[in-house]
Amino acid sequence: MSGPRDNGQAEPRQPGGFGPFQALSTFTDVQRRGLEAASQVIEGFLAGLGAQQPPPGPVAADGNGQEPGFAQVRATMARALDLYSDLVRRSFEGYADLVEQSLRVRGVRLHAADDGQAELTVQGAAGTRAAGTVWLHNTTDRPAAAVLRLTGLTAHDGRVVPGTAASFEPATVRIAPGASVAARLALPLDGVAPGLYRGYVLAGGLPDAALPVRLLATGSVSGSP
Amino acid sequence: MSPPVGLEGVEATLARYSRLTREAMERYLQGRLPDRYLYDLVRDYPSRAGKGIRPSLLLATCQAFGGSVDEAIGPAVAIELAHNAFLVHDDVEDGSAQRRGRPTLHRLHGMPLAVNAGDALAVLALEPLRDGAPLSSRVSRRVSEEFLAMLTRTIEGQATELGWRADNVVDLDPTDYLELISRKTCWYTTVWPLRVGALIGSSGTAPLDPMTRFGFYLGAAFQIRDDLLNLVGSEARYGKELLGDLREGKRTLMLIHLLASAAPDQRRAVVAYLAAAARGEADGMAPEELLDLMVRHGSLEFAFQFGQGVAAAAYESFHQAFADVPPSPHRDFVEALIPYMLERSA
Repeated sequence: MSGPRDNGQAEPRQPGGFGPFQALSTFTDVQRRGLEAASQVIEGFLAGLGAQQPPPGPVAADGNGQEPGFAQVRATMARALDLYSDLVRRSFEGYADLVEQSLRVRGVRLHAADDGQAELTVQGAAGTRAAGTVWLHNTTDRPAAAVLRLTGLTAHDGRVVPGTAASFEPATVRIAPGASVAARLALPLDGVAPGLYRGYVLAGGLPDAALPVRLLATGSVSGSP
Repeated sequence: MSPPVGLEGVEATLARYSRLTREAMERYLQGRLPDRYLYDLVRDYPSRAGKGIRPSLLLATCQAFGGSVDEAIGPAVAIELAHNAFLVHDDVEDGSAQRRGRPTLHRLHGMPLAVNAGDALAVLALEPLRDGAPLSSRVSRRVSEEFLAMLTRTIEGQATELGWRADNVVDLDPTDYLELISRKTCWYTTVWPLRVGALIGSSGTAPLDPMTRFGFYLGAAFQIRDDLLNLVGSEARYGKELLGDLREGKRTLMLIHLLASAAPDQRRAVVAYLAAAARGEADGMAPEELLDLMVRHGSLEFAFQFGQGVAAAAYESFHQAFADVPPSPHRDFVEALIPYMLERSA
């Protein structure tokens, strides 16, 4: 240890290259006092937090007993899991926001399924019947009633399947406040040419409610009359 | 990045990390109004070149544990802004005249505006934590919790020191001093940067108690050196008025040693001097005389050697804390900070 300078400041010495706790015997009294007082303070603080004492003796240069590189693998896995869980959480929140937004719009809405699908697709071969389910959700605090009807379904080339041929069961739907009700659509495909047709299910008495319909008509079933 | 060699190497690395932090910090400070009464003042201390130990320690630890600068730069900016907030308020509380080689903020703009600018810096420090986009929500939440705990401990430590001075508490020993600086200095200077660097770099898998232990020893060595520089450093390099701690009656290791080793009549004179300092008055003794007493009683040498003992504990605890961290220039830099804390002149 160097002595103090003329101005009272001690000359610093490089402390590197020795094991401090192993070299306690080479310490001056004041150095040992500094080390022990500091150790007492921090260990007391950590004990208050329920922390573990460090293992005695020198630490191996390549780790503290774990497999080499295990800490890095563990960190990489944690990072990947965090990324994945954040992705799942964000996806869920985005989806939940959409559903919530949809439910917060008060009124009677038509959907193709009870999970809020916004288009009804029905299909069938000429000479058979196409069928599907229409859901009505009443998010108002009043009962609602509607007579369902299908508009004409139009293909890209102008051909039309008349909506009047369609029927709904029940034909008139009554929905309690906050409730959902399903109605079954049936559409005979007699004489319908194969193709894709588009139209709407409308609800008489509820001018804002409409559900897009997509009809996929195929050729006649083999062997049918 | 090559490993830092000696004081100059450490200072070059500190300068590099500081520049990164300052550039990121500007994003939070630019373009805000009103300039004249608030944001010009808010930008003042951060624009004065500091050492940048806190953000550098955080960024290097994060990289050593496998993380990136991008992940840690927000918390690095947060701690630098909080540090500047503490400095503004410290200077008011201590009645300091200089900070980083220039007049303190309250000397330039008056007490009310300076205190308000300090408040603004403390609030702005939260913004980079809120913008924790590169971090997972789990790690980001833990960083914020650590930040809150760090702020609380620092304020508690500062309150204790101010209280000791106000009540002229003199029956203190080195353990009391270490208890004080563990809260007042270590937590935000070294413990938090190490804990958060390891937390981010390891995605929350590294044990943090060894970081607390190492951070305490490193921060205590830093503070002991800082107290010595206030007495015998170069004012131009140190950036604060020399003997300021003596004028303020700050309870340093040297003062505690002097109070314990001075003859009874000398001790009475020192206690009277401290009582006057607490009232903001000058007693019969000049600060230079107090320093002379310290030199004659070996208080400076005592503090220096005591600091060396603390630094030795820092070496041991560094190897515990970084046991599972592979060799890298970042790890080397953190280790090189231990002798730097004892040797620095600024």
